[in-house]
Amino acid sequence: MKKTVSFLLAALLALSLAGCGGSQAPVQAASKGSGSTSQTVSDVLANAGQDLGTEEKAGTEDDWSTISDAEREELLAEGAAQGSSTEGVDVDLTTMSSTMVYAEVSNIMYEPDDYVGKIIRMKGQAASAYAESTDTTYYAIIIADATACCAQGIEYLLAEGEYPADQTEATVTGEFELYDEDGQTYCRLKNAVIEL
Amino acid sequence: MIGILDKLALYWTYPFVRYALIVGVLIALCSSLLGVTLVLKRFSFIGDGLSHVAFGAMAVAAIARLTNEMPLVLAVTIVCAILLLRMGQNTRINGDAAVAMISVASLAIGYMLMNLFPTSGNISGDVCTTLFGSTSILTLSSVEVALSVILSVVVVAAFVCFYNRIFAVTFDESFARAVGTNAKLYNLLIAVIVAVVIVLAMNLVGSLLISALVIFPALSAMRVFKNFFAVTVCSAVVSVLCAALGILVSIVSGTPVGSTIVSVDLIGFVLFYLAGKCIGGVSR
Repeated sequence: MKKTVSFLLAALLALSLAGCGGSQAPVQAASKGSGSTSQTVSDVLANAGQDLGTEEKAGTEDDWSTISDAEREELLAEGAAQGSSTEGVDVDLTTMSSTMVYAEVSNIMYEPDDYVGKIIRMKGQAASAYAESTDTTYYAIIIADATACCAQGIEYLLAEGEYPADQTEATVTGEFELYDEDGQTYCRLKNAVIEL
Repeated sequence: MIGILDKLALYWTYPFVRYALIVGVLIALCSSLLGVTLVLKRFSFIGDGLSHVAFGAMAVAAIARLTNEMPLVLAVTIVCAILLLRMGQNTRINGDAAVAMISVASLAIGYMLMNLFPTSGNISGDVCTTLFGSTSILTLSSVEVALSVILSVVVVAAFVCFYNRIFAVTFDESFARAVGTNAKLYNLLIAVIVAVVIVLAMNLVGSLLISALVIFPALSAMRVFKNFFAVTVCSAVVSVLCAALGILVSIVSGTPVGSTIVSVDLIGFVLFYLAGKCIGGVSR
C-alpha cells in the first residue's frame, strides 16, 4: 500500500511539474512586449514600435481581398441596419457577452494564424498612443473583461477617414493580418471601417 | 429562452468554451471530493491559505521571468500544504493560526513583489486576474486542458483507491493509527492532492474564491445527508452542477466566471439548507 501511495504521489508531482503552464506565447497584438494576456491601454500601446506612418501604411494596404470600398461600406450599412451580425464578417464580437469577447480576443492573440484573412468586427473604447521612436501614433480598440480590471486590444488601420478621440465608444470592422517588425510578430485589423 | 439556447449553441462552437466546461467540471469534482475531508478535519480555510501561497509563488515566478511558472508554484504550494497540515499537530502555533499567518504573509509578499518588480504595465490587471480568476478558465490552451484532465483523473483515482483510509484518517486519526494505518502518509497524500487542486483551481475562480469550491458543496451536502459516502457523492454532484451552471451563466450574461460559480454554489447551499430543514422537520 505504501508503494501505491508513493507511486501516486510521485505521479502527481511528475505530472504537475511536466508543464501545466505550457501556454504558447501570444502574438503581440496591440501589445508589444508583454506576454500577459491582460493589458491596459498604456500597456498595450506604450511599447509600439512600428516604422510606417499611419497614412503611409493606409496607402500600402490591400482592400478586403475580394470586395471594393463601396461594397464594403454597403455591407456594413446593411448589417448595421439589421442590428445584428454583419454580412461578410467572419468573427462578430459585437454580438457576444463581455466575458466571451474578452476570451475570444485572447484566443485571437494565442492562435493568430487561425484568424489571418478573416474579417473581424469589434466594439470597444478607442485608444491611441504615440511612439517617439517611430514618430507614429498607433490606434486600437480596447475591450475590458467582466471584472473590468483587464483589457484586450487590437490595433487597427482605417482605410480612410479620421480616427476617433480616445475613450470614444466605436465599432471597427477590418481584415485581420499579421506583420513582422523588429523580429516580433504583431497583428492588426487592416483597411478598417469605423462606426461611432 | 430560445435566444439563450441559440447563444449557448453558438458559444459551444468555440473550443475555449468547451475547454472551460471540461476543466471547470473536473476541478469542481476534485475540490468537492477533498472538501468533505477538509471540512470534517476542520481545515476548511486551508484552500484559501494555500491559494495565497500560490499567489506569492506566482509573483516570484513572474519576477524571475520563468516561462513556465507552474513547477515553482506547485512545489511551493505542496511544501506549504504539508507544513500546514503538520502544523496542526504538536506545534506552538495552532492550525488555523498557521493558515492565517502563511496566507496573509504570502499575499502581502506577492503583491509587494509585483509592485516592486513589475513585469507588465498592468499590475492591477495581473493581480485581479490571479485573485479573482477573471477569464483565465476561458483562455486555457489545449496543453493545459490535457494536463488538468490527467491531474483530475489522478486525484479522483487516488481518492477512490484510498477512500477507506482517507475516511478513517478524516474521522478519527488516533483510532486509524491504533489499527495500523499510516496516518502520516495519508495526511501527506491529502496535502499533496490539496495543493495540486488549489493550483489548478486558481484558473477557475482565482485565489480569493477557491475556498468556496471546497467548502460550499460539502456543507450543502451535509445539510441533507448524514453519512460520509452520501455526503461525498452529493457534494461531487452539487459541485459539478454548480460549476457547469456558473460557467454557462457567466458566458451568456457576461458576468465574471469565478464569482458567478461561487454565487451559484451559495444559492445551492441555501436550497440544501432549506431542504435539510424540511426533511429534518418531517423526520422529527
